Amino acid sequence: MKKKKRNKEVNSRYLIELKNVTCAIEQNLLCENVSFALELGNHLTILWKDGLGKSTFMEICTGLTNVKYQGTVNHYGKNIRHYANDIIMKLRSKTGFVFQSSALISNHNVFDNIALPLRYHSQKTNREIDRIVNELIIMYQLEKIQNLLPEMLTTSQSKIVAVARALVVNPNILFLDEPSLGLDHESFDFVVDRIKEFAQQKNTITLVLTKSLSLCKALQFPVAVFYKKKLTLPNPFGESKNNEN
Amino acid sequence: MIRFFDITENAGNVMINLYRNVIHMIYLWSDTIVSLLTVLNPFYKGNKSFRRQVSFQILFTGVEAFWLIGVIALLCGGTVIIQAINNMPNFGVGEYFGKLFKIFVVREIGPIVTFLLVMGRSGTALTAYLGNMRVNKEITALEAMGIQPVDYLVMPTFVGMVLSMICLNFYFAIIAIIGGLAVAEIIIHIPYMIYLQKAFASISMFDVYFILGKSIISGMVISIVSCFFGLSVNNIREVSMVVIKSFVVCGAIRIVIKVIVIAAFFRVLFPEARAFFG
Repeated sequence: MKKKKRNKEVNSRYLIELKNVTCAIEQNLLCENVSFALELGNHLTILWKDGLGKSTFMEICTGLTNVKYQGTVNHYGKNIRHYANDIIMKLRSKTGFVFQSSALISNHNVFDNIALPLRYHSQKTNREIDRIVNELIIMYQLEKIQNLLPEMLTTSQSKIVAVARALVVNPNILFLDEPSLGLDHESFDFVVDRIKEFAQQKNTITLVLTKSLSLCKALQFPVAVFYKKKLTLPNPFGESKNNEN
Repeated sequence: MIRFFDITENAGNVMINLYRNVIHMIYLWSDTIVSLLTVLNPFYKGNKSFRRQVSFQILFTGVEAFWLIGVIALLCGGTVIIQAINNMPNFGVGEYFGKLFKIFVVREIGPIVTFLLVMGRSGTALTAYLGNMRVNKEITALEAMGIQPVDYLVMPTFVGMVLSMICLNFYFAIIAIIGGLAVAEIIIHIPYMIYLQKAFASISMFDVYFILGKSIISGMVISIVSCFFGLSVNNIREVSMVVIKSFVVCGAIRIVIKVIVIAAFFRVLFPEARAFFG
């Protein structure tokens, strides 16, 4: 009976759902009553001004923090706070995350950073993992830097490695926090192409948080705008229709 | 003006924090043991980085400290042997050279010096490394990828540290005896083989288990305390503070364990140890 109930919850229509999320840090209100839901095939860009809690909001959306907000964040139809830790970790194994600062592991070289999620989660042998990572490295043109440590990479290179690391597990959901920050033109186009490629696959969800209007235009995903502590969503994602803001 | 209430409030806060820290360290230790048992399960196919991480830790804690520990063992052994050979016959206890050397260097000086060196060299570096990882959001990145920091960082460190401590303690004992006698022979020209025989004849299996136990406990204390403080960092300013804190707390915990647990435990289990603990 319990199993059936759990399956029902997991098979919910919306994989990511925020209900009336209000976040305040030390009396500083970041967002108020934010609600939206994403189902498979939905891709959303949120345009959010710098310094107003973009990364914190991303952590709330991904369930990386449970304490800084009021409201409900559902993943796979169930409140993220009610999941056991090991289940959350399993769900995250099929989730890609690109941090604003890339957050590459500092004592691992580029190859090991990309291989990291596969080595931890995958049942594949080390040889198979090496083959997959090598293919990805060739595809992302990282051959020359694959043995370098993150401290020796440029911002653009770190970002591309972070995108490669997020996509190496073939995730269902991709969260991107300022993916275009610090990128040169060539890398910008490259990263945008990879995100679009991911979005064109079946059964995927992409959530991008950015301050860059050019990224919004390049990605051509529906755009939600964060304005005056509230999120104004495009029609399919929320009830608000005042897009002219 | 300091009010009485302030003093009691601060003292209360310190006690509450101490209690919380101890509980969290016990949780971290138990999580680490569970994680280790999971990895040791032959049917478990995840976490293929385990061996690599353990090798890295052994390389950093054990192999790279070999020279340092070796030189200090040589000096400690040499000093104790020269002093003992020169002074013990004056008190009429020259024949107890082997026993004294065993108790003083092998059982006591060796483990404590190794502990201090490893804690000062590797434990503090580990705390700073994990603290910086926390500040640079690398720990959050691991969590975002579904990787438990305990599985990926703490448990391999724990295993590597315990193995390194075992090797370093035995290494210290051997170098202190063989090298120390060699130093003594060069300086005061003693009959090397006779003293070497005396020293090794006095060492029993109990001493081996004793060093083994001390090494395991020291390795566990250093790894768990360093990781705990490293992972508890919130911002870059705290990193330098927790490094010192972890060093002090490690020493304190080891002394507590040494005085209370080991003494009580060994007194009951091994009657031979009663003479040693008094």
